[in-house]
Amino acid sequence: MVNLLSTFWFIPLYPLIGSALIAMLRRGSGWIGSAAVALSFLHGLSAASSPRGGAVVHTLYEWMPGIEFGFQWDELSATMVLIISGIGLLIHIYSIGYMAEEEGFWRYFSYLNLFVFFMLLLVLANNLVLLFAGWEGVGLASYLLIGFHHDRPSVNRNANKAFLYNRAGDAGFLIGIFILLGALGAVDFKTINQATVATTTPAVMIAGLLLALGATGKSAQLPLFVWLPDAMVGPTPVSALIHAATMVTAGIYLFARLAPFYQAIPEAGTVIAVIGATTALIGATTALVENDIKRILAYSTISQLGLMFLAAGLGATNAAMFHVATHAFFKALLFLCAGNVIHALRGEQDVRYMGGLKDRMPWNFRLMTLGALSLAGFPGLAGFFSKDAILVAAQSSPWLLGVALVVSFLTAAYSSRLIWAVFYGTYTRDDAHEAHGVTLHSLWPLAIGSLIAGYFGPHLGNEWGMMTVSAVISIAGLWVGRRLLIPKALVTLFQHRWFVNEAYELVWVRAIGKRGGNALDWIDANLVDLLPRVTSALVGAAGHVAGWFDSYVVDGLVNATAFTVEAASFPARALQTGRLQHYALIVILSLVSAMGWYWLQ
Amino acid sequence: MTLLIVIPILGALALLVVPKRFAWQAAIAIALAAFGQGLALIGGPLPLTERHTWIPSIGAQFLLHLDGISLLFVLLTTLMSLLGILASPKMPRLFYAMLLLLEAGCLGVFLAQDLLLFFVCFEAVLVPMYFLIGIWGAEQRQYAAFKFFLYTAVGSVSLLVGILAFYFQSGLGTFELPVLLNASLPLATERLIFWALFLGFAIKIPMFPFHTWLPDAHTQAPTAGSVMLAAVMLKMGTYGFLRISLPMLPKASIDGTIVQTLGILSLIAILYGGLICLVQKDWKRLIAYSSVSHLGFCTLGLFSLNSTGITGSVLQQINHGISTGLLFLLVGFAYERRHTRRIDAYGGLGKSMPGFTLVFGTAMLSSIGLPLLNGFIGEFTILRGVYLAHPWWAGVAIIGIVLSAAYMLSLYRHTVLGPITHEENRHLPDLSLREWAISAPLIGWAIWIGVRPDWHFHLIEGPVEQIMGRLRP
Repeated sequence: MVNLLSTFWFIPLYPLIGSALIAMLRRGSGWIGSAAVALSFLHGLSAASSPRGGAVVHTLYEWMPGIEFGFQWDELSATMVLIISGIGLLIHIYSIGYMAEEEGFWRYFSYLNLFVFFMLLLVLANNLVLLFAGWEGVGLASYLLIGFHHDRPSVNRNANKAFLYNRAGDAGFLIGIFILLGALGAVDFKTINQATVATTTPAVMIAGLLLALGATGKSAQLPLFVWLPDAMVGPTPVSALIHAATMVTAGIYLFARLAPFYQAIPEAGTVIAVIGATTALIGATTALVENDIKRILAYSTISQLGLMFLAAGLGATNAAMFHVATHAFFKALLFLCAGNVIHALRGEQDVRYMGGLKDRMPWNFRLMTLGALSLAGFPGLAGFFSKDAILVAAQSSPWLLGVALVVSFLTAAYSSRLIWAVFYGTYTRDDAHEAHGVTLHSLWPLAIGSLIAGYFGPHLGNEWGMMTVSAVISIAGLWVGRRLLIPKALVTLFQHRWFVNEAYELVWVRAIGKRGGNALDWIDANLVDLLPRVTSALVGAAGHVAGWFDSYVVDGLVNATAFTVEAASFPARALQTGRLQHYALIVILSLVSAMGWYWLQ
Repeated sequence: MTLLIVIPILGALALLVVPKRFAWQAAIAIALAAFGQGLALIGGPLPLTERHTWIPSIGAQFLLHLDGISLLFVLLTTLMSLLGILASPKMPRLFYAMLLLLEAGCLGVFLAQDLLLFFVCFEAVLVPMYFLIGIWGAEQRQYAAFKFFLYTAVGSVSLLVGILAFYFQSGLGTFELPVLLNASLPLATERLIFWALFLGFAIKIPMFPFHTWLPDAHTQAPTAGSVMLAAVMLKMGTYGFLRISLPMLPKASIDGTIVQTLGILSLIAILYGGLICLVQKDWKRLIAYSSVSHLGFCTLGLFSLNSTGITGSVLQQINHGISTGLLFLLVGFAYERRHTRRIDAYGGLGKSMPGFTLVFGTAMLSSIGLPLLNGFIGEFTILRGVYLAHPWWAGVAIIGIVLSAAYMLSLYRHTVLGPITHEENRHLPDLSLREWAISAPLIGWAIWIGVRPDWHFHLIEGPVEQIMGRLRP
């Protein structure tokens, strides 16, 4: 029998083959895609349950000098593989129903399989460069899927935006890799994690920060978070899988993977924690005033990722990864339920035009409420425990703890607002219907996860004080969220995401992209091109000068010489008349003169 | 190896007596023979040298030398010539003859180890390219051809002066490169000669600020001309730096002023070319400026002056040939259908030409350096070396990879994505079997380098070590 643990590096291959197969066959794509991800899940499950001692590393070959095409299987990658392939499988199945009437059905599944391939590559790589291959690859798949409806307005723009913000982070990530390559000579995780406080240099600290910059791109944190809300133009299952459960958690995975390294550079950790706290606050406040159901969830994701950054920055990567896992369940559940709502309302996404769906979609209502309660940290649900772990970790800094508590309160408030806006109140439409088939039944595993996943997390000990505070805040937030009045000025600020997006738009797109490009284009056509033009003009002018010189000076000299000779020859010529008598006369005159001169002497 | 150069030359002559109807097929057969000859060199012993007498009175020989780097360029040249011809059916015999002569000249440059022979080949490619642009180009072909010819000819003159200066200063009475390496000139002389050679190579690459002939030449050239120009001819300049300037003038090459100047010019090219790409409205012009930016990476890698950076530079030159060659071929396919290069005349091609969209997408990703495709391996290796030499160069150059994504994605979006905005685009036929056959080898090569580049690294490393041996004090 094949040893499924030693062949764990096959795991990403199934969806890669699936993706290619779907593109070639273009039929049965939903089932091929789901089967491929199911194979990854089963392989992952069996590898995870095989007994092993420590991490298993498998190197295929040397990719670039000193950089291996190598994979690594341990606790962390196993967790991530199971989240990705497990939730990925559910979302594939859900999509079969959800995307059934879409043009380009096969294209969708081909991209989705491609995404799973890159994501699995990311979490199975044993070095930063191969991780980076997955890292950029998921960015590509995300770009392709955000732009799936590419003939709708603004979709392509938003897809480009997502890719470019990620690229900006990736540029920093690459420099981080170069610094580490220079400082440590290798970038496999084992080498990097051997760094200690004593051996690190400022350059290595900067490398840590630059890797974190890459993480802020992928995980939608300050300063690069603005792409995620706009990514919501992608199909809803994509938002659930890529922009909530898996890809955006890659940044936290990175910190967990390099946890010993970040412990050696605590300054970088502080920066990461502060970034996380700030982003969590911005995301939560914006979610509170946003009206698009998917964008509410997107800001919620940004905010939750911020909490995970906070924990990871403080070194509590266990707590952060715990929240990654529970968040994957309840946020995927929320998104898929939102997708059902949107479908039921024929594309309506504005919560102000929703309401009263409780009786029309009873199961969807229950499931989504469960997701929202879990997100809000309602006592006993999955989100409660993982958020509690983060709050416990934040205790080391009163400021960060304060922000985390405020964010928890806001989270409960917007979760409650969302449920009330969508499902309560008066029903205004007559066409809504309950979800059915795969779009409903694929949600059950997610619901179970949102319910009980919290009991499988790291054991925290008796933190009853924090748990009580957290529970009280959650319930208070849920209560307040029903009817929340926010001052208008704050609403404006929140709605504009604290104007971060506007500032970027102004600087990057208008000032540098358009103006700068146009200015340089003008310079190129009118100034740089002067080099050949002036040269040729000068050569041309020189030609004219030379021509003038040639015809007036050089030729003039020649002519002048000729003229002088001619002028000088004039008397002589006068003598040369060609008549014999004259010559005879000249001869005689000459002779007489000569003899006369001689006689005078 | 001589055969490699002789096949296209004799083929070009033979073409003139082939019946017109079969000109294309005959040209394909000849290009295929040359490519086969190139493939046959794989697996053979390296390096390989061939020597024939040429002009003994001045010490010039017909001296060819094949090592790993040359082999890669030979493969690139013969493949791109073949694909260029395949992409240009129904052209007159003279057109194919010119392409084959061009191929022979390029092969000569990449194989010559005699400076005079190198110069002759370097110069000889101008003539067929001049005719390719001037006769079969677009609306402003004569201006573009003239500008191309004059600009590069000025460079060639400077190159010749540099070569002759070295020849006479060394006093060795030979043009044989390995022998000339024994000469040791004073730094001041080396510097002067370096700048003379620099002008020749920098115009050819082209480096900022000598690049303005390139957008004009590219937009006006026929598809096969653009392909050869971008994929092969631009590399002559970088190849010249690599093979002649660095080993022959080691003192000048590591001179601080010179290195900093070339580094800064390369960085300007990367950012400047990329920013200009953002506002281009002409498909070919955009790719031309993107070449300026990408070649900036190549020169930056060369002047990192460490083996990693130089290795990356050589690999990236091949990569640029693959990806930009493919991009120009694809523009050609689109042009044949719509007869316009204006980006805004397209849009929504994804609906009518899904195959084209897939290939174009792959070429774009290869060009912007997505991992598991070739461009990433080249850029990564270059920047890795550049970081070791001058960290701030790497910090500036990295902006180029964000810019390249910005302009290529924008191009992709405005040509193949979105709704169909022009009725003419609705019923365009997708890629034909011939066009697939043209694209497939380049995509295959791009994936090969991206996933498993070790064979290429292996070929490049040895020769680069030799050059490094010259540069280490």
